[in-house]
Order: sequence, then structure tokens, then C-alpha cells
Amino acid sequence: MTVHPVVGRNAEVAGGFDSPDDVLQQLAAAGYFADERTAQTVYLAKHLAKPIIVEGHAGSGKTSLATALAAVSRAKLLRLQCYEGLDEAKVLYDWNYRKQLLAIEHGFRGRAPDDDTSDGGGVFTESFMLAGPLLAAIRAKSSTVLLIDEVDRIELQTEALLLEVLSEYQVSIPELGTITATTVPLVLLTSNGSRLLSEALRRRCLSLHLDYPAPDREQDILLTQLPGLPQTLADQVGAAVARIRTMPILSSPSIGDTISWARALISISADVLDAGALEQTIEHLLRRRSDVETVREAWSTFDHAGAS
Amino acid sequence: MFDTMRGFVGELRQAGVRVSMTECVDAMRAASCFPLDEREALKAALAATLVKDHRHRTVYEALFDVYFSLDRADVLECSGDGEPGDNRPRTLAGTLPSRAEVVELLFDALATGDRELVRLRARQAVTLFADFRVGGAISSLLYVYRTVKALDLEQLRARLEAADNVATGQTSPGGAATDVAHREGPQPNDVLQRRLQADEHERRLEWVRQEVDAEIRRLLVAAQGSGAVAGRLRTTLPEDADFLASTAADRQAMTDAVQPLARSLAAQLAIKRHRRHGAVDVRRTIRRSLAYGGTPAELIHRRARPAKPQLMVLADVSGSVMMFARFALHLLNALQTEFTRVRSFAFVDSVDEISSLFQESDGIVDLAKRVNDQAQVVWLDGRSDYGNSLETFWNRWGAGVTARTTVLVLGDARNNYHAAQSHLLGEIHQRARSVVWLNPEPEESWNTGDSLMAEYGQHCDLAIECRNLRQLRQAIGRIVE
Repeated sequence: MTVHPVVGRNAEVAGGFDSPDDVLQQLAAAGYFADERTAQTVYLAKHLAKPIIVEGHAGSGKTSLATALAAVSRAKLLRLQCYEGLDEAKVLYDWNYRKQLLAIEHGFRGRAPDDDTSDGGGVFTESFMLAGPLLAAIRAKSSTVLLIDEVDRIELQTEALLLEVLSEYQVSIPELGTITATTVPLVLLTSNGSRLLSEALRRRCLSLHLDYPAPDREQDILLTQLPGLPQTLADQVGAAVARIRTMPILSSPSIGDTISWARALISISADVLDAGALEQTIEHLLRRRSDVETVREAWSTFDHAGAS
Repeated sequence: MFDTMRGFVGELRQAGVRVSMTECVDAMRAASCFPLDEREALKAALAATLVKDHRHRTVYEALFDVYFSLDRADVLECSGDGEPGDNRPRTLAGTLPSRAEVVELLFDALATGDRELVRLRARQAVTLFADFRVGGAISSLLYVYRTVKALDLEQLRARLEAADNVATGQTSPGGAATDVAHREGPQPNDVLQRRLQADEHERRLEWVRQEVDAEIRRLLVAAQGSGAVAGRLRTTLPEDADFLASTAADRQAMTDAVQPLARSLAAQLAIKRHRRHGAVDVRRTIRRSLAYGGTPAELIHRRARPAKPQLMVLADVSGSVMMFARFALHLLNALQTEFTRVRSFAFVDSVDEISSLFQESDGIVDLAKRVNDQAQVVWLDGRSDYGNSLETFWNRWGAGVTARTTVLVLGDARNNYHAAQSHLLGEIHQRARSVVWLNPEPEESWNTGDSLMAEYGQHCDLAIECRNLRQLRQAIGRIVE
């Protein structure tokens, strides 16, 4: 097999967007409300055929961005969940030992000893390979979205395994040669920032930092997720959560927390977010007691100021 | 475009953001994906390709505004004789509006919450109030001050509040609502809702400040060129901010950065000691080979049992290094979660172990309180005494120091002219694997006044200046060698 020249650079990534606005609309149709910056970065990633490192707080919609993108571009989503101790065999490929052994044994019995399957050369073909998600994404015939989730969990050394795939969209296998992507997958790497990613990895990717959504976008999310939610309540919940996130609390509420809070507000049939409703439902938004205290304190000082 | 990019990237590098050659090329390619007049798109494109660490974002944005804020129309408008045609607001009669009118227009824009409109009004306000002159003051502060003062933001805030109260059926902030409105409408008197309203007003007023700032910077760039403005704007990245003189925002950034650092320290220590496999386990290999008819097709290795490194950290938490102490606590907290065998000690003029406090406490503020209340870190006067602290440490916990222990001291070595007792550190050094001292003061001021860094330093394997996150990162690299 020949070693191919770089193909990723000029090949158009499968599944097209005309403009950042198009990205925005298509994602919104799939139920993901992105901001402009996200849309622009995705658009760029498609055009430059580059992976994106998506960073941001837990629960700011990193992983769901990938699933939404896959849904929008009708691509297959291949997911590599990273964890400490992840190795080459699970990321790229492994040889199917048992199958190889069986084939050799079968070869001895059925064929002459000098057949080329008997010396082992014949068992290193693609049919004896167990493809990991990365190789699968490279070999895929149709368009794919490759999600490498929580890449900060793997060790610094393992990161190097990703580099060839991410920059050249190819995998080199000593026994077979180089396998190059026919359709360039859209690659998203997510990171929670628990470890600094290496310069080498960062250099090869576009970076996107997902903030929590702006209040009005969060409202949109709430209204689509919870059709029974009154508009005014959604407004207020969005504004309140945005405010709480600026407070010095230990774990900021995620989008999921906001939704469950809104659900709780619906269940006590509150039409409007007032102190009483807040008091009853705040535990659905904040998990830590000390955070609840912080919020309570911040908003009760206003009480005194307002009364005086 | 090319020249602008070169200047821009140069400035970014000057600020300490690492930008490689390939990233520049990517940035150019990315920029060409969008039409040039779409500033926001360009901003996103360059950010995605050049800024790989979101903490650098503030610096990036300030510089971007300097280099890319001028579209051609603006240049024509602001240069010349200071008669900006269309930009100057006109009333119906075609005369220039008085200041009252601009304030009025700005208020309308704020009340509707239309950011674009706020931008326009802010620009007009700058033309009217800032009294900007080419060749005038070179700093933006004066102009911002003039404009913001003329706009009187407090007045605007009060009016916004009044307007909202009217809208929700209340007569005035202090006055009582009519009974009907009170019962039927949403309850505007509710504490929480008023709080939310106030926050919203604050957010909108912040727009005004930002827009005024941006507009003045734009005018300055037009008058003086990007390079000159960027040079004065030069800001520090969070990782270069001094521990001893940091702002609240810097400290937040530091807090965020400490956890990954502790993890990489843990990871690197782990690499040092970690071999991938232990020796071949013959018994299990033979057993597994039965599955392949006696051929040992898979080698089974013994599980490697890496020796766990021990870390003992002594942190100065006295008032003189208060900012550093706060940071030291953060670092300790992060280390404590990464290493199972970290023992943390805090000292002022006496020392106490605080390892157990980390589990109990909920957040760093709580931790600091507990250290104050529960740990016996103060003996006499609450001014740092390294000598006595070392003595107490040696007597009570010295036996815990073994050949596998790394002792990390965080402090400025300012002993308030107490006895140094540096021989005790020597004893610790003899017994420990290594002793590392991180000093938050610049190396020039070591050994001045009551600083005894040289005396303690002779018993350390490493004494490193550690004034900011960048240096801390390097220090961690050097600790693991």
C-alpha cells in the first residue's frame, strides 16, 4: 500500500453549511441553540477541515454540540470516551489475535505448509483488524462526526496518538501502510480543563470556549424543552440563573440544572419567580448547601437595602 | 491586511500569548473564509485559530479592537478637521442636539435594551462630550471620564428603575402600589424581582461604558496608529499577574489554573515512577497459554506497584504574604485532591497540620476560616517566625519525613529578625528526598531586610522564585526534573 500525500487540506468536509447563519439555523432546528461564535467556529472547521477543541464548564453543552452536529449533517456519530489508561489498541486498532491464530491453524491443516498464510504475512490484513473509533472514522465511506470526549482525561503521552489523525486525517499501520480518509470527518474534542492540553494538540485544532448561554438563549432552550413553561417565567428564570452564575459559588448551575429548576417551578405551579417560589425550589438548581446560602444571602441583603 | 496581521500577532506575542507560525497561516486562511467587513466573524475566526487558551481572551479582545476596529469609512470620518459628518447626531431641525437630547436618546436605547442603538448613542455621546482632539491627551482615561461624567449613569439608572416600576404598575420605588395592580399583576414589590431588574439595568449600563471605551479607543487608533495604542494598552495575562499584587479577577484566573497544575504535577511524578508493566508473570502466562494449545501467545505481566511519592507542604499563611497565602491554600487544596499522600502544614510563628481540614471544609473561604479557628498556627504575636515553626515541625512531625518525602516550603523567608534555626531545615534535608522552596518575592529582594533566603536556601535542593503562574508552572517542571 502506498503512502498517500496529505489529503485533508483540500478535501471538503462532508455535509455542508453555506454560512455561519446557516449553521445557526440548522442547529436550532435540531434543538441546539448555539451562539454566533460557535456557529462561526463550526463553519470554519468545516471549511479549513480542522478539528475543534471545545472547552467550557461542565454542562455548558459541549457533548450535545457534537450530537446536534451529527444530527444536522445526517452523519454517523463516532464517539471515543477518554479515560485514564486509554491505549493505542482502543483508540486506533488492534489485531484480532484469536482470529489470526485460528487462521494460521486452519492454514496448516487445509493447505500446504509453504502457503503464505502460514508464515503470518497473510493474517495482517484489514479483515483481522479490530478498528477503534479513530480508524473507523477515517475508513468511513459516509460522512461522520468524530467526538473525542473529555480528552483531558488521557495522559499526555496518549495524546500523541491523536495527532496524526487530527492533522492529516490518516492512520499509519506498520503492517499495512497508511490509511487516509476519503471523507474528512468533522472532529470535536471536548475538555473540562482538568489538565492543560499539549501545545502540539492545541496547534492542530481550532479552539472554542463555550460559555453558559446568554439569558435569552437559555430561555429558548427552556421553552423548547418545557413547552408548558409560561414566557414570563422563562424570562425570569433565565435572568436569575445568569445572575447566580456571576456569584461566588462553588458549582455553577448547568443548563440541565436550569431545566430541572424550571420543571420544579412548573410543578409548584408558580406563574412568576418570587422569593417564595425561589425558597421552595432553589435546591433543584443548586446542589451544594453552601451555594444555596450564598444566593440567599446575596438576595436578602438587597431586601434590607430595598426596605430602607 | 497582511501587515495588520503581522502587527497584531506581534502584539499578541509581546503580551505573552504563544502564537506559532502554523497558527498564523491558519488565521489568514480562516480570515479569508469570511467577508472582510464582518468584524464579528473575523474576530471569531482569529480567536479560534490564535487564542488556544480562553484565559487569554480578554487580552486578545482588547488588542483586536485596536487593530481591526477601523473600517475605512470610520477613518475618513474621524481624520480630517474634526467635523465628522454623519456621525454627529442631528435632530429634525438639522441642528446638533444638545447634551440633554443625546442623554434622552441614550435612555430610550437603554430602556428598549437594543445594544446596537446603545452603541450608536454612545458614539454620538463621545463626539459631543469627550472633546477629542488629535494631538490631545494620549490616554483614553480622560476622554472616558469626560463622557461618562456628562452622561451621568447614576441618573440613568434611577430613571430606568422608575420606568420599570411604572411599567409594572408601581408608582415609585418608595411609594405604595395601588391595590389593584398589586393583586392582579405580577408582584413588583417582590425582593427577588427587583433584584433581577436592578441586575438587568446594571448590565445595560455596562454596555454604555464598554461602548464609550471602544469608541474612544477607536478614535485614538485613528489618530495615532495601532502600534502606539497597543503599546500603551499592554496588559498582563493572568499567568503573569503577581501573586502579591493581584486583583480579584486575577485571583479567579489563578484559582482556575491551579487545579490543572496540580494534576500535571501529579501526572509527571507518576510518569517518573511508572513503568508500563511489571515483570512477566510466568504462572499466569502458562495458564493463559492453555487456551492456545500450549503456545504462550499472550504474555501476562505482574501489575506494577509504583511507590507512591509523599509530599509535605509547609505554607506560610501570615499577613505579609496574604495574597500568596490564599493562593498557597488553593494549591494545597488542589494537591490534596490529586495526591493521596500529601500532608499539608500551615505556619505563621508556629506550625500545625491542616491536612484533615481539607476534607471537612466546603470551599476555600471556609478552609481559610477553619485554618484560622482550628489550627494552632499562631504562637506569640502572629508575625512569621520560620525558626520556631521549623522547630515545632521537626519535633512533632520530623519522624514522618522519610527518604521518599518531598518537602515543599511556600513562603517569603522573612523571619522578622527571629532566630533562623536553619540547621533544622538542614536536618530535614538530610532525611528527605528533596527540599524545595518556592518564594513569592522577586529574586532581587531576597536577602534584603529580614529575608533569610540565602541561609535557608543552602539547605534546599531548589529555591525558586515563584511570583506568578508561569513561574509556578516552570517550578513544577523543575521539581519533577
